[in-house]
Amino acid sequence: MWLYCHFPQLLLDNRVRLQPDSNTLPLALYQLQGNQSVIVQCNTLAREAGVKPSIQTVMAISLCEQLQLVEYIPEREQQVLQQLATRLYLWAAKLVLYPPKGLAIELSSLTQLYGGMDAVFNTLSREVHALPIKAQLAVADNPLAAQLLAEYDCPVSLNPKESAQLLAQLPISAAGFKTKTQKHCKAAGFRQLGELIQLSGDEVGRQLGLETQLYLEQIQGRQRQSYDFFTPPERFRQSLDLVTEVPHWQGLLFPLKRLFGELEDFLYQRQKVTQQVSIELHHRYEPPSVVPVALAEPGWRGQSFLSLLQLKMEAIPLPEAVIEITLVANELLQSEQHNCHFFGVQQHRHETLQLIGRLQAKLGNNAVFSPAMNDDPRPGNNEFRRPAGEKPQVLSAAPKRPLWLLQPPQPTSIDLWQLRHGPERKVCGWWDAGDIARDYWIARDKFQRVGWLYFESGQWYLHGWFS
Amino acid sequence: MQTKLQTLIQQGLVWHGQVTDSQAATLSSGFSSLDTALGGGWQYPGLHEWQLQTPFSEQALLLPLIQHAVQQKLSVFWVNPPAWLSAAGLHHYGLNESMQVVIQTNPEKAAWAFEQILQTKNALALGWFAQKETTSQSVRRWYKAAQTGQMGVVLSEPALNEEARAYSNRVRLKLGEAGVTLDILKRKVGWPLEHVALN
Repeated sequence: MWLYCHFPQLLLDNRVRLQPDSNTLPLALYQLQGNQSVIVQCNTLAREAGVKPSIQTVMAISLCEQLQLVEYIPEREQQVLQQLATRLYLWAAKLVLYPPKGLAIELSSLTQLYGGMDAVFNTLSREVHALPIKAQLAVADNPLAAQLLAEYDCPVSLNPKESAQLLAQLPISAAGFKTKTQKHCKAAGFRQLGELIQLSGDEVGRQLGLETQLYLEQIQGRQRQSYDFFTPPERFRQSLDLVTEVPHWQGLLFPLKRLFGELEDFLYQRQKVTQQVSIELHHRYEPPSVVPVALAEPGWRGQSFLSLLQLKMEAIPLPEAVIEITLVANELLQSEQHNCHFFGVQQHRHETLQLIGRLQAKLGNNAVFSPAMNDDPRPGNNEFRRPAGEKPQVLSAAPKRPLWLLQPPQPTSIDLWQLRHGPERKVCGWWDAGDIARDYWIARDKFQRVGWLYFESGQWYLHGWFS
Repeated sequence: MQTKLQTLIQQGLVWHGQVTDSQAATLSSGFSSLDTALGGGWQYPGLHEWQLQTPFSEQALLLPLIQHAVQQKLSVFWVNPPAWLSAAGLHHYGLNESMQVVIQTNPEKAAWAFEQILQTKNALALGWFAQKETTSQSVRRWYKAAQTGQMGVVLSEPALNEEARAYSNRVRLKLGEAGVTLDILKRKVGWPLEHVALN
């Protein structure tokens, strides 16, 4: 048995879900069909004003002057369908997408898990209706039949005989035939699908053609079908069309909060975490502004990303008003596999890493780092920056070196110093043309400060301070 | 009247008398003479000012403090240090296994970062600021931030005027023949002291 969910105005409902404000005005989606612009989806306020799907846009505007019009983009509706499928994937494994408005779920394999067909249907129905998106459900023994029933908004029946009866009662116009076939049926006097089903296959083939015969066999589940089952995407990408153009960051906060909420749900459901997301702000004329936001430690809470983004906002001027926002998270990690940081299970580790994330967001990644070294024997050359919070490389030898290093070393006069320890000779670096020949000394100045000096090519240099 | 009082408070001639909290936690300075003078060590939470008469003279005080902080598993944040903090140097002093984070930015952002660090549990904040950047407002903000349980040290050059600031302790480091000596300009447990030798 298959459950088919038909979402008649998926794109519009999803828009209203993410931006509840847009529902306070009459709103309709239009599509160019041939050389005509036609309304395809509209909200309740628009319906009350007389607007309905399939009327021309010009007519719709004359019916309702305040009508907000947005172009319908099938690909975007398909993306929303994918998001819905990802959500339902928690409850059912075998999903087949029928883009852009429907999906079918195989039920028989779930009966044992949920304890009967009724329980399966109730669980899935509850989950489908959990979002404020209009859905028409139907159950039949094959996805195509269920699709026809759902699209016609027939009552749901889990009994195969009853659903077959409902199918037989469908008018020819709702049976999914091509317009030409519908005309033939009408001319031949067929009004309901059941009348065609009663005929033998050969008879249908003779009267309406082989294609119709095969289609009828499919509806009745007499043909074996292969299905392309849905697999959840490996990355997160969601876009949000803004109702009005927003020229400043403050106005973007609310929609961004929604998007980060969606990301949080996505990560939580899949028990994944991510360290970096990027926000693409689309403008009408300028190329999109891309703002990356990275946490010091992978996380899944939307609020963590949002608070970092708020810190960054001040430094990033918007070149132009924003018309659309896209949130992208490409690298998802298992929530357990990201631990190469300090303090394995320390109480305040999380707070410290959050602090580092905040500092990096406001000051830039280069401004916050931890000192690190490699095994280059040349003093100064072996020092580099590593990302703050990352564990350093373990080195065995710890020769006496100053805490402060002057980069580059400063020329000095030996008259200012009293040599105390040394020399430590460093002659190396021939392998990359950065060769040095230095004698290092530890010396005191007149303030009793201890400096680290070296002598090279007839000149003394101060390279660091011990105190 | 109010403005006159504020002037007096700014000059340090009038201050808010408060009961000394003898139970305050301290981190040892590493020197018994200084610990005694400070009432057990550097107060924790607290915000301390070290005025360096000569640049690069802070290590005598700095290293014992960091070593104690690291023993207590604190992360150390170095805000605008005066030179490159050497990983080899940290390694030599046995601090390479701890979390040391350097922040290099302009003074305005550094003041913000310093406050953020002071608000975070389990962190020791070390900040190098010029006197003109340590206004009474910013020091007050840092002090309030540190009161949630953290410790911060502001390293600066000697102040030319003795305006009051909300530091827990203010010390001036002087280098001489006998090594480092301290003038304690302000402390929680008594009157100012001069020429405290480190031993």
